[in-house]
Amino acid sequence: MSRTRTFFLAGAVALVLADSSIVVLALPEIFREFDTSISGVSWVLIIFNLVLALLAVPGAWAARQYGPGRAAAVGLAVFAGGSLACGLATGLGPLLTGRAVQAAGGAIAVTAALEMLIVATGSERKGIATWVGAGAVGAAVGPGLGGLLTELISWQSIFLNQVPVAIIAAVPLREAIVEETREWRIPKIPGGDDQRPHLPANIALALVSAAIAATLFLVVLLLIEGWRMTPIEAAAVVTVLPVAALAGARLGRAVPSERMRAAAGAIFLAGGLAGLALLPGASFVYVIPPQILAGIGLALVLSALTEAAVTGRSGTGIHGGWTIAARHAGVVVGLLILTPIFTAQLDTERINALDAGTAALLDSSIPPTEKLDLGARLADQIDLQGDRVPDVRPAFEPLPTDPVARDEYEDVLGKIEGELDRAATHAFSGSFFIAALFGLLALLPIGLTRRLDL
Amino acid sequence: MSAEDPTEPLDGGESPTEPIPTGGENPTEALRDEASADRTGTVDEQPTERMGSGDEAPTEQKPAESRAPHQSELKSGTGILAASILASIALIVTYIFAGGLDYKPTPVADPCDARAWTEPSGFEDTAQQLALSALDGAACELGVSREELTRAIATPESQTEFLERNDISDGEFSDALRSGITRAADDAEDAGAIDPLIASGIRTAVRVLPVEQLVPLLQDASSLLDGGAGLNDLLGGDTDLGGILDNLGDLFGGGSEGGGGGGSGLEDLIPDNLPQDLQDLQDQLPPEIQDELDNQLQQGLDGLLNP
Repeated sequence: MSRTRTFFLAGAVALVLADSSIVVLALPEIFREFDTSISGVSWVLIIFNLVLALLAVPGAWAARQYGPGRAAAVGLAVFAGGSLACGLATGLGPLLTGRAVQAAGGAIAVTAALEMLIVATGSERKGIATWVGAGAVGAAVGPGLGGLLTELISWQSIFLNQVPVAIIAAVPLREAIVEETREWRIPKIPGGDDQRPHLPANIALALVSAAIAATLFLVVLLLIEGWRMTPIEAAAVVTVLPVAALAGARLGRAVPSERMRAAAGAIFLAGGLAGLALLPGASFVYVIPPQILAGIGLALVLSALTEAAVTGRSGTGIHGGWTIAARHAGVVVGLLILTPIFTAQLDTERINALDAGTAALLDSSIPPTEKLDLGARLADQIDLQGDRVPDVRPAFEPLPTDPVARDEYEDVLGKIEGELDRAATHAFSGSFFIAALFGLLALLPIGLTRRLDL
Repeated sequence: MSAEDPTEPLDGGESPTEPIPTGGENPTEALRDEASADRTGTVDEQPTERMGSGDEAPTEQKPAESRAPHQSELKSGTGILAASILASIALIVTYIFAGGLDYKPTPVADPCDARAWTEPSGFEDTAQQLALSALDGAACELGVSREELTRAIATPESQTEFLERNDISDGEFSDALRSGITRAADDAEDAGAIDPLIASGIRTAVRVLPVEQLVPLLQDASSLLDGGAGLNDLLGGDTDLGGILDNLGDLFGGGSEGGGGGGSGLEDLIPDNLPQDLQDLQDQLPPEIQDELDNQLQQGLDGLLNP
């Protein structure tokens, strides 16, 4: 029974924390459907992480007060309700409200699950490791899964599918609910009521989480909005991240030193992000090695820091809550800092790309009268697609039937698309560099603070 | 986990077989004791408070993970740290050498730097080079790129948006277009791509044309050269300026097909119908253009007859 309960509890944690990233691949669809801005659509991610950060510690407190089983059940029910609201949302406002409800339920469920996992596994260390691992795998698998659902069904299906999953995850809580309802005593915290969070570990967690947000959010936007990939193609590309994270988790088990694991993880993560900032071309192949490094890094650093912040400290659930708060606050800060930077950069680079593309058209051997016509059609396409990196191919269609003229048209189209690819890639560079810096900054609390008892 | 790992649970990693405490006991509390036993190897001790963020003194019983690591652990930790640094540096260096620092949009040419005129391959090519050169000149005046200006004049809406975005008045815009077309005519004349008289005609016409007629002129530069029909239309009269310009072009040998000026000899350069053409010019052009063209013609003829 404890194995089953462990499985379901880990599933619940993965489900909730996957939600911080699962909509990443659906954002372009939501962006188009609700006719909003990139900054506006980023709030679909930000609001979830913000509410999760704010309510994680109160959620852990509630689990302690009323029993983790009951708290987890209520949390999952609220989460399911929020998911349903998101799936049925007809505008950005209702969607953001649903996301906030999801996060509120998720905060209670995740922190309560930590207490229950320690019980179910019979070991604090195993319980924490399972809790951290489930969360990391959920966050890493989320984008790929969300991309698949978006492409095959719709973005709404991401949320609607979560409703039955959340309910099923709550089924094994039955026994705990009965026990806690019969009698529940608020556990005393041995060693006093000092539940101050492990500050250095939590600061480091916030910093690396800001960097991880960039990995999950910006890579997907680059692939879909910048390089014009379909969500399913992008999902296939970003699947590298969770696979690398699993490899990183195995690697981490061979390294008992938490400080070394955390430091190596932060460096892997920063190195991967620096690689993303220096992409030498607009091909998915170039995105794979940085994702491998980032995936290994996030598995190492998240597990090491969370274990350092929680293990052996009285009030495990509360400290687990602090780590969730730190991580998701880091994601929020990362998104709030990076989104305006890359949207401004995208705007500038889009104009540079259009200039370069226009130059390619003007200097081409296409007859002048056709250039005029093509230029007007290009201008229409650019207007039609607003602030996005435009898809200029429709302006060139239908292509001439004459083979020579067709080659000339395709040559110009290739040049313009090449310039747009360069622009989109370069537009994300600055944000990836800043994210890499977040990862490196985490080395300060990891390496220099004596209080960090890793 | 290594065999000597002090953090290895006492139960050897097996699943707990004891039921979860129920009844009066608090399950979480009970498990905390178990968890403490896992970590410290004792059951009766209270869980130890780890060194945290606060100022509390370290407890006597340090958690197992925070004891001094064994040599093998240190080695393993150093190895992964070194691997992370090496892998990161290798990726960064590889991407820089593959062109990661230069992968950005190709910068466009400065419109203030005059582009060399290439030998025109025909009428269309001459017209196109003239238009591009005019765009360069106007863009230089306005402080924007030629490409941005090209997109701006694509539609009336894009033009309005461009003027608002760059805070350019209609007057500044028309002055810039005039300046650009004049510069293009000068450059084309200097390069021998069009006849001096055609260049003069262009310069003169541009001076009096309203801005709404300059833009179509830039978009379709052939109207400057295609026998002058475009200019004729633009000037709004029934003038056969095209024919006149053609004839004047013939006077200097190159015609409007490009190819540079210069006749074979003075006798050949003065056709029989020159007086009639000049009379036509006098009669058909608007007064301000007539005056200007008179001057230009006079200068051109002076140059020919008194080399």
